[in-house]
Amino acid sequence: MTGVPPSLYLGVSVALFLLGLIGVMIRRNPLMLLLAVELLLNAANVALVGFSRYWGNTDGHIFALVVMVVAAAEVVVGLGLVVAVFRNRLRLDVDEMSTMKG
Amino acid sequence: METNLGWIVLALPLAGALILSLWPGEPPKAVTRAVGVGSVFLAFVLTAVVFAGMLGDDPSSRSHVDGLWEWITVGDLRVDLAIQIDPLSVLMMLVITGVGFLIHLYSTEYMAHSAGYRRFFAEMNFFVFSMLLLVQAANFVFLIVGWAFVGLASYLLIGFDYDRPAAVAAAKKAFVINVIGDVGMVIAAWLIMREVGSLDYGAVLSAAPGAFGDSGVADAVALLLFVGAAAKSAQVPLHTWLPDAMEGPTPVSALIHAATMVTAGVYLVVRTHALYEIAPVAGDVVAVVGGVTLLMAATIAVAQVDIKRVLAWSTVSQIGYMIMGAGLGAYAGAMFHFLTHAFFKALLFLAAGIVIHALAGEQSMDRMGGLNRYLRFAYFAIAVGCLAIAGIPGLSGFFSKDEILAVALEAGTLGIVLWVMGTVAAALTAFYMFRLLFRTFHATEPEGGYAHTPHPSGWAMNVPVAILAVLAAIGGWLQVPGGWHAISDWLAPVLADVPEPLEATTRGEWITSLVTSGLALVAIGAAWKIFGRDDTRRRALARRFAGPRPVLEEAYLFDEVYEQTVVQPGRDLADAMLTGVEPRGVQGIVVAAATTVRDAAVGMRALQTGLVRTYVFAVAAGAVVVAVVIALVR
Amino acid sequence: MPWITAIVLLPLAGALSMLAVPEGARGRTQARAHALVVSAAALVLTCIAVGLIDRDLGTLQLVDHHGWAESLGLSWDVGVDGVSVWLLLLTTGLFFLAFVAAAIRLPERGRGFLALLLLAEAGLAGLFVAGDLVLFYVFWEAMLVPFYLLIGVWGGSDRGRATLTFVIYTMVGSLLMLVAIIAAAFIAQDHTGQLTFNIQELRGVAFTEGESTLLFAGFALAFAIKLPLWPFHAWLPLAYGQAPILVTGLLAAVMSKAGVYGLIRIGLPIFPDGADNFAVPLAILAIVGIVYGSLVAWRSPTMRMLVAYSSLAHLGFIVLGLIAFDTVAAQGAVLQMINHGLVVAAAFAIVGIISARTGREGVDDLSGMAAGAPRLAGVFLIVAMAALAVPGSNAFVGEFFILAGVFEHHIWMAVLASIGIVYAAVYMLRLYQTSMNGPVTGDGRRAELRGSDMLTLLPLTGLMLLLALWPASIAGSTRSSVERAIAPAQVAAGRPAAEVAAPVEVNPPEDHLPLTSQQGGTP
Repeated sequence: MTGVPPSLYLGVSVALFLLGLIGVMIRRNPLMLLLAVELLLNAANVALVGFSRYWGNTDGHIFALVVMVVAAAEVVVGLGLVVAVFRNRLRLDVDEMSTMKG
Repeated sequence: METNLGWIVLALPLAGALILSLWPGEPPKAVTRAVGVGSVFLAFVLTAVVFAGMLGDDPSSRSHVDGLWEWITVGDLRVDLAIQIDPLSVLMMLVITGVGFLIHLYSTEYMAHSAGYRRFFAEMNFFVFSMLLLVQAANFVFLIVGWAFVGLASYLLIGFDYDRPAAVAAAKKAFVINVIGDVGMVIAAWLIMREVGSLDYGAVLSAAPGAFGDSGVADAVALLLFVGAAAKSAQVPLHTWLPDAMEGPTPVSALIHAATMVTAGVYLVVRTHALYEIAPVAGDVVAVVGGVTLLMAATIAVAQVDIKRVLAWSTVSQIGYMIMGAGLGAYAGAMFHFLTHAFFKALLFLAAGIVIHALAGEQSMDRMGGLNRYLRFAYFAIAVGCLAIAGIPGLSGFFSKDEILAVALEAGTLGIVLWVMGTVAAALTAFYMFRLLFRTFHATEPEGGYAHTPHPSGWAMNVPVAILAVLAAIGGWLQVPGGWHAISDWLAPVLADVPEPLEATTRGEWITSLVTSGLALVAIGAAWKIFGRDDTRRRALARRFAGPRPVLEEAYLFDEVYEQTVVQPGRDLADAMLTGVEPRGVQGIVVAAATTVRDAAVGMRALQTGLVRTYVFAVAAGAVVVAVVIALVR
Repeated sequence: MPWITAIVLLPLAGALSMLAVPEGARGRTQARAHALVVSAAALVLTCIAVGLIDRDLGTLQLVDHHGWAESLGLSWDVGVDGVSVWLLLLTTGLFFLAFVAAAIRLPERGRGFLALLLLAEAGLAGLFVAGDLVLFYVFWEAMLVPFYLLIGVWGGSDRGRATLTFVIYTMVGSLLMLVAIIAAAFIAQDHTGQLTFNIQELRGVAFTEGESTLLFAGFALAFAIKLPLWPFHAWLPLAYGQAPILVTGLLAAVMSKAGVYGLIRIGLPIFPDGADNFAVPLAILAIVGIVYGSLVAWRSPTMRMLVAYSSLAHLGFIVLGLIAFDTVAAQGAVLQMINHGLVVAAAFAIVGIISARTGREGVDDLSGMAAGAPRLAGVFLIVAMAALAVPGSNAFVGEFFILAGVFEHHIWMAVLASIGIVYAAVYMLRLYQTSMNGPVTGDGRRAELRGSDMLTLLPLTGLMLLLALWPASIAGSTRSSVERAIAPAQVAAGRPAAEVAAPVEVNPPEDHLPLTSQQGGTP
């Protein structure tokens, strides 16, 4: 097996994932939150594609494509919510959007 | 032919009851009379035809069974809606329809002022139907059905005046005690099913000696059946309902609680005598219960003031004789006494009814006295009845009662003990019956006059009483010791399977007759001395017996004891369940479970901060923990 | 012609098409006609089905089988035997009478009321004909929804608590049943190599005793709660007390039979070892229920509670009859299911009429009504006598043979249960006497039965009298079905071979052992 060793893929993936995780945890702006989630998903994608190559089959690629579709859908819904909140002239702060709390 | 007529006899009173119940609006009284009395009269005529037809048959071919349709088949057991016409059931049917007709006729006048005229005759017809079903049934299932239906009819008629709480309570008591008896019979039927696999009389009674053997099952079945018999025939300790049943109208007391229904227990023992023959213990128990009942009831009757209650306790006592006779094996004697008792007790009730009717419902003997000047007909009728029941030679009670007692003499030590009890009770019977006669018709008029000016009764009441008086006087001549035995001969085909029938000896009959009639005459004399003219002696006697008297008036406190030991504990238990177990136990567990879940949920809610970052942190921390655990475990 | 499918789907279609009926006053008449026609059609179809089946055959007949998800063993499988056909007739018959009663006195929002009743009818009818465990489960849960809404929307003042207890309690039981269903199918696959939920194909599967016991327990708990069996009846007083009286009548008369039916259709035939292990405990609960229900009924403050608790006692008798594993007792139990349905429906109808007209619910609040209401008193007397199972009534036939069969094997159980017979007389007479007898009041004239009341009460009392005079009409066709249902349990209980009247299937059949292919047992 030639080329990039899988540990490097994983390293990138972990780095991206940690960045995303920290982003989700410390940002309060929903747009930033969405971006961070996108980082999380793409970290997973990197890992999936990397392992796919490592094992020499295409399952990981397919999963990655599915994840992208899900991510796109998620962003659509997420941005829609953000716009809706913005239209109502509420502050774009996820900590204040907690009316669904039990 | 016999069974076809039997079905019609059965259907007639039922049709009468249905027509009267379903008649739209209030039918004219003439229609009610025609249907109510007519159906029973027709049934009597047809029964007489059956009887006449059977007289012409050979005695061995007088039993007929006929099924109408297959009622049910469960497992391998088949039960048909079937009747059995044989000498025993025909004898019962004759009395039921014959005396029943007379009492129906009597009721047309007695009940004339009642608002529930139609209802009365509908329920009376229903009773006659039920009683016929009871005696005509060819298997234990329909015996039990008839048994319960007469109980239902009795319930309805005791509570006829349903706006009087006393009548309603008495009706309920009668029903519940009879249900206890029903349960005994039902368990007996299960036991028979289990051992024999059939419920038809023919199959069961012929198979019984072989199927039951010496296992004690025969005793168990016989005793369980007797629970039913004791409840229906008001034997100790299930007798307490009968005196209360006097809350019903007097014709009801005459028909149901004197002449027919209460003797169903005697019929049952005679019908299933094949079981009692192989169940010596049960037979003895039956005889002892009969003996205890007849003596106890006779002592209670002495202290009663209500004229109908005297007669009710007298009925309990007289049925005790029959039960005792049946238990000892004197089946024909028991049936003979049933027949004569139906005559003289119906007579006594109906004649007492004339008195009560004349005094507008007054039943207390304290408010009577000196009535022979106003109600001569009733006076003579009751006198005939008293002479008959007291066992004065020549009248019906003399022959039938003495037959049972004479047989008892032949039944070993137990028989002699029972003979003594029966003889003492016979003397008491003469005493309390003539006490009734003298206190009602002789003595002095009550202070403050009668409740209502006595008025004589019309023909519809007098004719049945007159017929019954004649029958009560001469009915005993059907069976004369040393002469002829019409009843025994008639029942011979039914009782043919009794291996060693107990028979009275001539010596025993002479002893019994001399002793009982002598004692009866002494008792009548004593009654005349105490109650005949004025009530000074009576009051003096009452003062002397002030101690035991309330015990007798309260019938040895059976009601009180039952209330304290059975009814009230049951009520307390039920209340404890309703107010304790139900809300705290059954409901409580569920509520507790629901509350626990809810409280837990409230606690968990604290975790739902609504802040995304805490959730994410929890997920990430969880993932780290899992990863660490996996790493360490490896 | 798929008769049985039609009978189940007709009320369902009727409920859905009720949406086409306009709301408002004009729609009310149309809704009435709609519901009456649909339920009458279902009743007619059921009568045809009763006529079509072979009464001596014990197997499922008029079977409709349609594959649905065959690889998962799921299919639409309905059919009737000599037991379920009568329960189906009871369902469609009583629902038809309920629609007659509802049409006469239609509550507010009548369209929804009738549509939900139709849904409930479809659920119950489907339950009694389901030949597949998953289908059984679906109908079992499906009927809960309309009853939930019927109590929740049209119920009394405390209806919130009633629906919550009723639904959550029965849901707990049925979820366990779902687990048991899935487990049963997969364990059976281990034994036979074939994945199926079909009840007939699961018969005779050689579950080990431990498996059988656990699976039976899962089902039995669901059945015990639905029945309800003492002490699982906590929902009963609430639901029966708060539901509209018509719905209470249907709950007691029809829905309570679902649990008993589950026992005889699934519990005993498929898990005989488990049934045998649980026979005595269940019988003891049934007997306690009989005595307890009778005692509490005796002292109940309201008429409704009295009848509700009497129903608890009566269901104890039915369970006792099934759990005795005896042909006579089981035939009696099946007969008693029908009898109890008729009697309790009539009893609730009368209680409903009295309390609606007089505005009084308490047993002791009424008095002397017989004077003003002779017709009511007469009908009430017949119903009360049937409810206390006086010999000669239809209920007596059932109780007599149930206990006769129980007596055959457990004398003491039958004798203890007889206590219930005595107390039945006490509490039914209390109900009858305190309302009808005693000092006369004006309530009687107000409550007297009218022609419209007779429309429902006459058929009920007529059928009660018919079954009293000719119980063979039903009992005649139940014998072979019942024998087939209890035979496995009889073998498990070690009864002598002479008693076991029906052949016991072995699944997989012995000549198929050892398993060679995926094609395991074919029944």
